[in-house]
Amino acid sequence: MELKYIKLDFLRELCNSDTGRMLQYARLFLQSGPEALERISTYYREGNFEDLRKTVHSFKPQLAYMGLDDMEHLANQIEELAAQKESSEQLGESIERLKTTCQAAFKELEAQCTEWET
Amino acid sequence: MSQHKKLVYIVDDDPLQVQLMSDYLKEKFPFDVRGFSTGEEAVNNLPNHPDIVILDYYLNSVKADARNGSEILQFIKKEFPNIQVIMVSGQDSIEVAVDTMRFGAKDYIIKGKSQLHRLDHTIEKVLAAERMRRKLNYYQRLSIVSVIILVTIIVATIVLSMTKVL
Repeated sequence: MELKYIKLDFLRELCNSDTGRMLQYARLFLQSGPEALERISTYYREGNFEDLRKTVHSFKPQLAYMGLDDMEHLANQIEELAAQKESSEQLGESIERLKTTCQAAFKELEAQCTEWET
Repeated sequence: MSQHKKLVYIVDDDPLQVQLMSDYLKEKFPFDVRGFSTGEEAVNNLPNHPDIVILDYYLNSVKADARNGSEILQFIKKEFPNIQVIMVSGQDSIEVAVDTMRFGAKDYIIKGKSQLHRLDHTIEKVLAAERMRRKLNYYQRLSIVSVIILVTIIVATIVLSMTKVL
């Protein structure tokens, strides 16, 4: 299937194109990714910038493994903005963009997983 | 030289990270690998004497009250100084890297696509250093034994000569 958001080059190389292993990693990402996004939104709403920063920070490597390079860069920006410990239009917009794109990527990856499983 | 299978702990609150590193290490090295999602869990299992601990710097991104990697590193180096610790982090900060090395970590690796190759390299270095240390210990023991034998021969020779003279 054609992928718009996810790039599987890293996983493919790491797993020697073993779809069983790729599926395992993709499922772990699909399990923890939405939870991380949820926490990011909650921390932003609560003005908890330190935990927001930590969560975005920990989410970055997962984005890199799934080839979401633009989102990794965006996560870097969010981390820097959150470090300033104040709400801003840019921070809110960046989080919203991260959420929207990641949710689309989750759907795409879910479809890819289903294809691997069948 | 001991040939036991090395025990490696991976401590990270990201299950994907733990699985990825664990599979990679088991593929590359004859290691027993165990994953922990918190530093506290890993600390409780330190009496099993892991050879290497791969520790995430931010261990409190999921559980806010969890101890961070730096605290766990300092605890390990104080209580179990022979355990080799490798710190991994998504943070590309010189200050954090310097602090981490100062507290006794063998390396500070930035998480991302290149982290596994770097980890590979660091583990090779850790294993080589350990082999060297064991060799050194062996030769030190050997030289002590040689000195004892030499002294015994000298004393025996003197005693024998004196016996003949008498």
